[in-house]
Amino acid sequence: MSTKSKQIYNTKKYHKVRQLYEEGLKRVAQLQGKELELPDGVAKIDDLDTLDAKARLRQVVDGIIAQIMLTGRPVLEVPNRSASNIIWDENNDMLLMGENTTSKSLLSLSSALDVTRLVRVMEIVNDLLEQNLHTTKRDLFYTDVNLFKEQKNSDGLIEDLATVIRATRNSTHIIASAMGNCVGRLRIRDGNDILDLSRMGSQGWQVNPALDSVEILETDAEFVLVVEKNAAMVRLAEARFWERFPCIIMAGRGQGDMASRMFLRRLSKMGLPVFLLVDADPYGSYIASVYMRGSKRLSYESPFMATPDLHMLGVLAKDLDEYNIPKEVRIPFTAQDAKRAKELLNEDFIKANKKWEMDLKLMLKNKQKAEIQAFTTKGFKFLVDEYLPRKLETGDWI
Amino acid sequence: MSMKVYYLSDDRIVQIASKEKMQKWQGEAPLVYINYIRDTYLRTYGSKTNQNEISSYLDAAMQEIAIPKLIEALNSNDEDEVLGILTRIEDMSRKNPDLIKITLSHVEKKQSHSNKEISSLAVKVQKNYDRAIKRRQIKKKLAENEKIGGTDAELDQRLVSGAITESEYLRLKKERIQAYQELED
Repeated sequence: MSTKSKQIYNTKKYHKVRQLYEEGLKRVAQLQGKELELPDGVAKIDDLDTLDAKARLRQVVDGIIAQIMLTGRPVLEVPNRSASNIIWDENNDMLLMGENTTSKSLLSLSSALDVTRLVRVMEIVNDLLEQNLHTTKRDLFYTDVNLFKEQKNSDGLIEDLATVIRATRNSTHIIASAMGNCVGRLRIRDGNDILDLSRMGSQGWQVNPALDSVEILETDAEFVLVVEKNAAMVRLAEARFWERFPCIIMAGRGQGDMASRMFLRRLSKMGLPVFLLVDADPYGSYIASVYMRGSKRLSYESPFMATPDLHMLGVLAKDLDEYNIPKEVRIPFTAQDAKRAKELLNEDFIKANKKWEMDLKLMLKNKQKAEIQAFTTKGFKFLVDEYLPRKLETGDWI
Repeated sequence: MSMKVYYLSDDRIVQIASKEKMQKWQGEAPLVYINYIRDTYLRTYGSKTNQNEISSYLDAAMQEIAIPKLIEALNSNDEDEVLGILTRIEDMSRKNPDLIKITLSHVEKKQSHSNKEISSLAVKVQKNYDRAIKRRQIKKKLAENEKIGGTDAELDQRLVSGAITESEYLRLKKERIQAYQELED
């Protein structure tokens, strides 16, 4: 609960965070009622409610029937989700799916199995929408194991179907298992229940993948802190960090599942600055890139999942020396780390962010990485009492 | 705008769901939300001026959105929708009867509905509400009684010490026993 007495946060001391928040609120007010403007040549995807999703699905089926009647040779145009069809939209700073499609003939032997499976997925989705129910990817696989053979086959088709009907995957009512947790100064409605996330224990609220039943109701938070590791979440929750700093804390467990990223986007659309706390390694930077711009695999959903205004609070490569992290908890770079760092340095969005580029180059030069837990060598409370407050006060983020 | 932003006198910024957002919610959701904010957070929102400003906004939301939505759902031709909203109103009538007071005249009309589930739920809502109001009156009366006589032990002590007359003692004691019995029912 937002009790004034517990709050030691001083907006003068942490004026850089407040400034970001006020800028965010102004941006939200300016964008009010305006849709995200996507560049030409990218697929436009919608987040649909049940009725619209059903209508979109039927439209596709009607199209196939019409082709059968008119030409006798129906073809399904499936948007191409490969890397060659992914575009970085510099203006919106997100990865988006292009408009290239692959034609799948319903009469071709080579695509018959794929199309049969896809049509089966359409049938299952139609049933879900009809009954207004949700299911997981795993459950969908088990509805017809003999046809799908392996879950990776049905998983891919779910994404194909979403792109075919030009909708987010959530619109198909197929959800991923819940992974992310959220705690802090936020009140939400999940189904028929109103939840106060500052009173949800140390693990907080598990982000509901059926986000269509979640509404944000109230907050007096001034920023969102996303942590890569659950261990960091436990430390912050035990310290009830949100009572000292008005914030919402989210643990994404790695790069964050779809629901966590979608929920984070909702929070950032309220103007709240978003900070990320990850390990000081190239994978940490990769996680940041996924939160900011979306993943390549799910690029078609980026407008609903990306949080371009996210800031990397730490752990930065330079922090290892600045905070005197002992040598014994620093981990040598592996060949995989070096490869990932070099790949990231080749990305346009990294080249366009000098601070980020410098941090990755420093990491490569020092050939060292460290986990968030490395701060434990300086005491269990160092992260909460020293590192994060100093970072927030000095505005030392990317 | 989906959230309404307030800059509070204590230097906090609070965002609450806006009327535009509430407009998209179903049935009783706006009513429950408005009361939740009123009961739980309103008093923590900065100065009295801040609280009054937010309170006025919530009042407007109640009049423009919450009440019409609830009544619209109750008067729907879709029996499933009516059943759904009545189920939730029945739940509220047990937990927070004040919330449903505004719907009672509409609920009453459903008591003669041809759908048995709807009519029995409507009757239940009225009963729950009446019982809650009666219990409140009894508790109020009991509180008044205890203000005069104190606890049961104190009342006995007052009789022994002569602070109250035997007839006064009997009247207060009888009222208490009746109240306890009625509250137990």
